[in-house]
Amino acid sequence: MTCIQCPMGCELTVTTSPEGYKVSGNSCPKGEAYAIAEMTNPMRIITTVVSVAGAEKTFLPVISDSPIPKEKLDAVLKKLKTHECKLPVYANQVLIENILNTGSNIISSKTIIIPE
Amino acid sequence: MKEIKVDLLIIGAGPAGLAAAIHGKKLGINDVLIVERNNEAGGILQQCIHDGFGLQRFKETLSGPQYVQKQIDEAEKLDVKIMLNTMVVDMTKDREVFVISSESGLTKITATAVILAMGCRERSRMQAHIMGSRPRGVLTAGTVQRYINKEGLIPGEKAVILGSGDIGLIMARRMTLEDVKVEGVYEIMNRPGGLQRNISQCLDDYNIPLHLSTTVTEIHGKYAVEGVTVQQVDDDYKPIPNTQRYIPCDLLVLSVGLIPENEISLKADVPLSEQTNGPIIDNNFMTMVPGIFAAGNVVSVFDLTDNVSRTGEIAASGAFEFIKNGNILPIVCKIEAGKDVTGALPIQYRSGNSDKPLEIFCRVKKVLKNAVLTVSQGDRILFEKKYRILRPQEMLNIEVKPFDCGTENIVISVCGEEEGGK
Ligand SMILES: Cc1cc2nc3c(=O)[nH]c(=O)nc-3n(C[C@H](O)[C@H](O)[C@H](O)COP(=O)(O)OP(=O)(O)OC[C@H]3O[C@@H](n4cnc5c(N)ncnc54)[C@H](O)[C@@H]3O)c2cc1C
Ligand code: SF4
Repeated sequence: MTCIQCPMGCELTVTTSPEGYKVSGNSCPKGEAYAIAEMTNPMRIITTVVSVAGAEKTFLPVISDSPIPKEKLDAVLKKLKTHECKLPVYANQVLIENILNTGSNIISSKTIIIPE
Repeated sequence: MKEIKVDLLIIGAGPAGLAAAIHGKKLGINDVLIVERNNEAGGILQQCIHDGFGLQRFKETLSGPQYVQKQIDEAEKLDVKIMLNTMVVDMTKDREVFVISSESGLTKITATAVILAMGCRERSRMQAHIMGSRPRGVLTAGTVQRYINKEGLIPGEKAVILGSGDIGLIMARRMTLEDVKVEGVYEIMNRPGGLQRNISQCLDDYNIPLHLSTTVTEIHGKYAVEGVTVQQVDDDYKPIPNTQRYIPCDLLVLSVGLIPENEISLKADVPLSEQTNGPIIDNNFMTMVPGIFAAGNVVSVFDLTDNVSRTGEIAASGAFEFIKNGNILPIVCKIEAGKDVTGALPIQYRSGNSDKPLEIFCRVKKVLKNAVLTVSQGDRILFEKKYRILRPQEMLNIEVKPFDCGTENIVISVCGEEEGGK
């Protein structure tokens, strides 16, 4: 598998042994953690846009502040499709805390004071 | 016509222009002005809402808007002036820049130094050479990105993507999340154009197939796209007979590469390089026109925004010295792409820089394993580094320690094992 933790994109190999997973091909510890997570509980950062109340043409880019289990991505996206935020909004402001009990917060990617 | 004078004028408020402005201010340039045609600063990254930016620079993974927001906030703190909704329409080699805005009409800005930071644009269908009519529903990946992420519009129901550049891969995932069915990605080369990590997280995660050595040879539909014909190609990119396949779709997304945006540069007679399509620059990122510098994707398509911002800083340092001293030292030698290297930057080396490190950006021509990159002048080796793997998709950024430059060309070359054919 390809490590997606940074643009290096190291090619990782995971072998299973009685002591657990053994990872090779990584250039740093993040790669090892990523490979093990891929085998046990794959996680992804989620990004999308949400609507802005009272501003039809303005959309706010949002991001999860930590990775979310892959199988919950669909549900999280669905929830965000119906979410509307109010202006002003500031970069990194928490919009939804602990979304769907994932432990991740959905935060704003940028500052918007007035509609674009 | 209104007239203003500034020390440093920057054209474009993307990650290159913003980095240049911030660095220029920090070095002590008084008057720093950025002119930006959009209604907000941040450049193209405002529509790149996905994460993966800034790992090198900010040591965390940010979305595009988060990355530029950090720069916008810092620029504001440092009192960088940004004129929004203002477009540069003309420029002379004496650094008279003409800008137009609905608020103040035409204004002439005379600058002691100028930094070009207009970014790049996408190659279009013309440059992809496809037959057929010109129906609605053929869009570049960046346009689709703007529709979905900035305007909240979904441009189709079933898409075919031509080209495996990073923006196309990112949009394959984005469209899938917005319930557009992505039939597949078709790439004429025998290797992907984009980064491996994007193949993995944007295609593999969503079971979107990538077809290498295959291209779109015809677009069907009179008024709107009804389908496309895809066809396999041989090593010379010639279509292989009897491999055509018809795919019904209402959207063809082009992700066939980026080219530096240099219309304004040409107006000031800034010479361009055939290799990079951007201005020929020296080791301070000054173009061949004294006092006009360039940074970011206007120079060459850097894939990493961290590198884009870095070049902004190099150009700002150069501009600072130019504003302070005003004198231009002679060019002593060229920097040359040697074995298996392409797009090496800078292109020229000026004297009087022996106390400074030399930052070089370049790419390899093909995938090479267990590679050694060498920078040499004559038989002197200036820099050497080993890499486990080098890929053409990734721009390399290396720093050569300060050295006494001779007159022979500086050559960058790579030796490595070629990947076994697949
Ligand atoms: C559609 C698209 C998508 C991309 N997606 C990614 C991605 O996902 N990840 C990535 O790393 N890179 C991406 N890139 C590459 C991108 O160019 C760089 O990452 C980065 O944004 C380059 O920064 P820059 O400052 O050089 O240019 P830009 O960000 O393009 O900024 C240039 C600025 O100059 C302004 N400008 C241009 N001409 C004029 C004029 N005449 N007068 C006034 N202002 C002007 C523009 O409005 C713009 O704001 C993408 C590029 C494009 C075109
Ligand atoms: S292993 Fe480390 S260096 Fe390699 S891609 Fe992953 S994070 Fe990057």
